[in-house]
Amino acid sequence: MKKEIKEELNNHAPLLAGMSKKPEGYKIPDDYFTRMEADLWEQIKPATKTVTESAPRTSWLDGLIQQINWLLQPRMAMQLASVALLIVAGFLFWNRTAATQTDVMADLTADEASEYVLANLDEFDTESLIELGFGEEDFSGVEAALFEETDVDALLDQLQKENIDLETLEVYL
Amino acid sequence: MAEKPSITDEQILSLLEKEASYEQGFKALMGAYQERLYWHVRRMVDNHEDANDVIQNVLIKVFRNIKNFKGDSKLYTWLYRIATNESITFLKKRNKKATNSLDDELSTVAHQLTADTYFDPEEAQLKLKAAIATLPEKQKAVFNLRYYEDMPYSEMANILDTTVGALKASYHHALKKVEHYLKNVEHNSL
Repeated sequence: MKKEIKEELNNHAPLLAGMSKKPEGYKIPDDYFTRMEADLWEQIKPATKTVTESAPRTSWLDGLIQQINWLLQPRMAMQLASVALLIVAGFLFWNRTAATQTDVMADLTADEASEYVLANLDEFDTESLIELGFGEEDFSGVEAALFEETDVDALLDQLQKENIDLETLEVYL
Repeated sequence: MAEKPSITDEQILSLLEKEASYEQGFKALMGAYQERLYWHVRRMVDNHEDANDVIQNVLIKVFRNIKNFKGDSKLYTWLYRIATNESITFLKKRNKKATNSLDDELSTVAHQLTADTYFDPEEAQLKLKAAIATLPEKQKAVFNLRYYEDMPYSEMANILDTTVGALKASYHHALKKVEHYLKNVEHNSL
């Protein structure tokens, strides 16, 4: 191979072929390669350590034990306890609010509740009233209170005075 | 070409595969190749400080990617390919910077060579280095691998990812350019 390369050189660059290849004149600092190896190892080493830390565990049980130990560290345990306390406090508060609302209704007697509903009928829709247990018979008194006979007679007198025909009257009623 | 390392590439790779022997593998690879790679890079960039930067990058890339090395080519070829590519990339950046600063190309080469405190050549070597520095980056790699490392074209083809024919043409062309430069310099100095 070297002979072939020498011939190639002689044929294409005779002046260059006559020159010595070495010394090239390049120099390097003392212990350069030893230091380069050490410096480079410092840069490569951390990556190797990371690989070691994430090495596969021997079994799932070891993994579970490691995780439990990790959770039982004082700092982790404190954090977990705080979260649990917050959850319990939140649950109790929510339950208490709901209980208070129920208690308000529980303090009223059935008659008091009915009285309240009848006095504020326009605040309830039909479904709510049925849900609360008010049937048609419960409002008979109300209708009676709203349309007393005297009122009807007066209304008819008024209509006659104004000459309202029967069809128009049906529309009003 | 440089002497073959006493430990084989397969042994080095095997050591680097296991965490327990990784450090040993690292040292084996460094012992076998760091000097050869450094001198290859140094001949490409000439200046020691630049060569130091490039070789550090090369070796970091090597160790970060060694697990991806499939063994389709020789380890030696793979290492040289990385070193050559890094050197060419570096030279392109450096040359672009020099061109942008509107320096005269030859004075830049001369400046780069003489500014290096770790370069103390004889006159003939200084002329030769100046001649080589005028070659385009890839042709410089071809010239250095063949002229200084006596590398067969087949190995160079693997490193530079090109054909043997193209490499022969490139090397012969480089020889003529260098020869022409040396003749001119000699003529001018007479």
